[in-house]
Amino acid sequence: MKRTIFLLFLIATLSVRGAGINDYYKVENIPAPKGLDVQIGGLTFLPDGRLAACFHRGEVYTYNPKTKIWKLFADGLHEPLGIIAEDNHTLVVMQRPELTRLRDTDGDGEADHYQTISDDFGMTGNYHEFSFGPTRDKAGNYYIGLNLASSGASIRPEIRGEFRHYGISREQFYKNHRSGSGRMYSATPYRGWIMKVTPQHKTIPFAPGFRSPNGVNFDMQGRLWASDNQGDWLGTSKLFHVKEGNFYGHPASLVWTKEWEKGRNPLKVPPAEFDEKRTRAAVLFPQGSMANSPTQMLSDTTKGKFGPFTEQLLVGEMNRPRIMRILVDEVAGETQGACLPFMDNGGLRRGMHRFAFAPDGSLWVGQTHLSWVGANGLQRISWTGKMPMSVSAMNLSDTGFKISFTKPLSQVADENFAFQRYYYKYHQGYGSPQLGKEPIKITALNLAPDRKSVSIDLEKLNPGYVYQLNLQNITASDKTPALNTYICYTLNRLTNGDDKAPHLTTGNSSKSRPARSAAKVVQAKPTALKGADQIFEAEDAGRKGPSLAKNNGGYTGKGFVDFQANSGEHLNWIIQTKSAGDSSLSFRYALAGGNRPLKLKVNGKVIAKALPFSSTGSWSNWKSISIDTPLKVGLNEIFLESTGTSGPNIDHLLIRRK
Amino acid sequence: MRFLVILYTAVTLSAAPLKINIGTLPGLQYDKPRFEVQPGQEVMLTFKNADEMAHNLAIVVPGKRLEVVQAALTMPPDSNYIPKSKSVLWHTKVLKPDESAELKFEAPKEKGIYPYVCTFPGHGLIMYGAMYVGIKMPKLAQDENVSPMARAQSSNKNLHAWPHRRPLMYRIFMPDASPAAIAVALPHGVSYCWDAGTCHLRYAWIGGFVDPMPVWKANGNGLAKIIGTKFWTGSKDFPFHKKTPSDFKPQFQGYRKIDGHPEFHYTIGDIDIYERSTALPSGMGLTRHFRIPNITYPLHITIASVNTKVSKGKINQGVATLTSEEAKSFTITHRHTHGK
Repeated sequence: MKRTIFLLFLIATLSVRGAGINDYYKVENIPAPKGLDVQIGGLTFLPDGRLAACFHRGEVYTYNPKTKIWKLFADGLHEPLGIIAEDNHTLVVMQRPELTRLRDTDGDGEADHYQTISDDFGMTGNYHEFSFGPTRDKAGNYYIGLNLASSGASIRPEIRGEFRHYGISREQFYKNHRSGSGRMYSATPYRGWIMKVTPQHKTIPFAPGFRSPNGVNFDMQGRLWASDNQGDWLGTSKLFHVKEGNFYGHPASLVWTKEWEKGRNPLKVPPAEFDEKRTRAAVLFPQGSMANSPTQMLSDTTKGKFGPFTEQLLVGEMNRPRIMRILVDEVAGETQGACLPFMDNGGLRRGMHRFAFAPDGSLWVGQTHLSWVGANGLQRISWTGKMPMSVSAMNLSDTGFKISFTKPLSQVADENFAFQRYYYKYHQGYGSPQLGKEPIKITALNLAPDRKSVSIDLEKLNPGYVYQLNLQNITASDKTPALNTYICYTLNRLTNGDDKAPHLTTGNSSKSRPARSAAKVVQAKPTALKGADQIFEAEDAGRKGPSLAKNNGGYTGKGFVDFQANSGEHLNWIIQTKSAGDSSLSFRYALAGGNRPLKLKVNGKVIAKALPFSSTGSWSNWKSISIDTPLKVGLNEIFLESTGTSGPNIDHLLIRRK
Repeated sequence: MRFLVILYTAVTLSAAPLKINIGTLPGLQYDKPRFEVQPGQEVMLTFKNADEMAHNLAIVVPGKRLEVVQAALTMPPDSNYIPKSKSVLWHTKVLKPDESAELKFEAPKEKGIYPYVCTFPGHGLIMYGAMYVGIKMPKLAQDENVSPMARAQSSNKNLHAWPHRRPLMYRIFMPDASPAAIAVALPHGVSYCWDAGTCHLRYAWIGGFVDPMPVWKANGNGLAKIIGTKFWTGSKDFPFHKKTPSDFKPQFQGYRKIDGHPEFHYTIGDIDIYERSTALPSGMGLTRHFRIPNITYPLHITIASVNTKVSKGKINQGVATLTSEEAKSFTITHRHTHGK
């Protein structure tokens, strides 16, 4: 009942404001065959108008939107994450071990020939070595992206391809992969690369420096793009314009370049050396507010059937029900630009993984999760024909930005445009806070005669910053409020070609002080142990670093805590007892993969140097790990600390007196 | 009212023998993994062999299944594979496909878990079930007294949008193989692991197929689990050579599906090798069919184990040598030899 009232309220609010996303775009759920795990790895339309989709458990189906009939085309593939049609009977799929052509040679609608186009790259069997793509250029070359391995797990006893890891043998590494592997590693060729595969099936290393290039695609102008995910060496998630031979910032893959000195460990090289070599991302997606895990990008090829954003790039996001738009800007011969939300909610699910435009101009989207944040299913988005009020372009000028809109603006003033800037540090650590954050003053503002664009001069304009713009109370002259008001422009290069940004590696911007990055500290409060068995929730414990969360179900109490950094964070309980005696401490936790041991101290004494929190299979699967320890009369401090490998999500501590 | 119904049922049960029907499933399985009777109860058990191979059913003393199975291994075919032993309580003869037999008996007075098993050589390692006498049955998924396949299937939701079928193949992370492994389920309960990383057969097993969920349930950080019993394991190294062992560097090219069976294609220099495996109709092994149409030199094959037969060529010190003509088309058969 409560929920119904809330929904009614929500609908009422939307209709009053008249600017809900569903006024412009409708979202429809497409039912999939019963029994299918609808985690979608790839979507494409065949020339005859049927959809082809590949799924987590290795199936490829076709779907006829007219008859609504699904038909199995192929099965048995290993985590296919991309699909492209060569003709109505031939699909090319990227699966973990290879790029494969699926051919239906007898015309029964089912593939009978699975032809290996390229398996000319290594696999250690590490779960994070996903294979992405393919996309195809005009000459018929395919491009694929090879994910790095994650230190969340080791390699397998047998691997495919050469093993090389800074002088460590494969056997040594197999036993102890954490000895200097770095967070993400490239122990076999060509993990961390975008590869080119020619029509003659020759595989050529194209560009190194990637971590997790989930989206690899060409746009309508023939530019190759790849998205990458926040992590080590990536201060925040990114979109790269990829050119042959350039290096895109994650150094693990550099060991497979010809120039790399054998045995040299990229982790021991100063970041400034890599910063010199790297090509910065064209667009940064601020973590937490814009995107946490960007996915595929796709040009709007519908010539207006999907609304006013023809030829712009759309990019998906895993962690929230969002599709973004990219406003590309060519500045002094280089590509950079802005991102902004295009669609939020409106019936979309999370896990916005793969996209394809149907011949009728509707956008089909497939979701996935692979046990991370996301969802599953297939949806179709169509434009209602109504024109939204939104930003259609953002271009750098000599003195600021020119911002264009889909409709003429009503009156505008400085206070309608709130600018700030910040940057993300380029370093080996995982992610980066927003540094050098400061508001930027507007010095001049001019509305164009057609009222469809505004030119703004800014007080400070320097390379190496994200310029974030929040539109405030912008409406069109027909009173339509602006739909998406949060835009982030990545300024790599000024119009005069200047792209110097030494602060990106040193972490010192010219004038401004670093933004507050200290981990949140909550002091533990003493809690009395009353019975023989008692639960002490992690969310009520003291902590430094771990944040409160409730995004994975199955926890007790009000939520759980989520470790953020690799080391130096802790969680502590202060337990008051009336008697001394042996107790069992049982920590309930979830961990999707790998091992994340924590140091356990009780009353300052180390009880376990590395309490082995091993994988529970998923973030919503909770298990407990127990250890016995004596507790004294009075106050006892139970202290869990991260020591290099972050930590699992902790739900609670159960104390059982013996 | 309800009480009356229960009373009535109880009366009926004690009056007539308890009827138990057991059939077969493909892949060396009874279709009933277990059943429950009361001590001393009259039982009429009907066993119908719906499989493509011969089976029997013997009810044995608790804990004696493997002993009986071992004793039956070396017996001649006319023995019905039933050892003369106090451990065998009741049994049918060996039934051909579509035959059936009845066993009428009074259940043991002594409570216990009495295995029933097919003693046809090799089958009894995986083809068995449990008669619970006066003991409550645990959840099937946790029942150690039924075959591993039955246990796995009980927790096995249908994994796809189609019914269970064979042949079936998964490219999936497999134990004891490279990360580019392929698991194939053939008819008759035979399965094998072919490695697209090394281009050769790694091992084969009988029973169920694999549990893929350790890989599929999350992001791939797991291995598929073999359900059944391995009967053949090949070497780690590619078994063919021209002059010296391991002088071939095979390159995987993909596969075609022929009646659902993959025919793998790989190349060594200029020669194309095609390899397709089929199950022996008995379910006790598999035959690998090789075609090398453009080979121009003799081929040497290292034979890893005794239960291997190459259809052509000469064998010398564990290496079969085929002339280029013989190598154009030949088979290799691996049989389950029951641990001999």
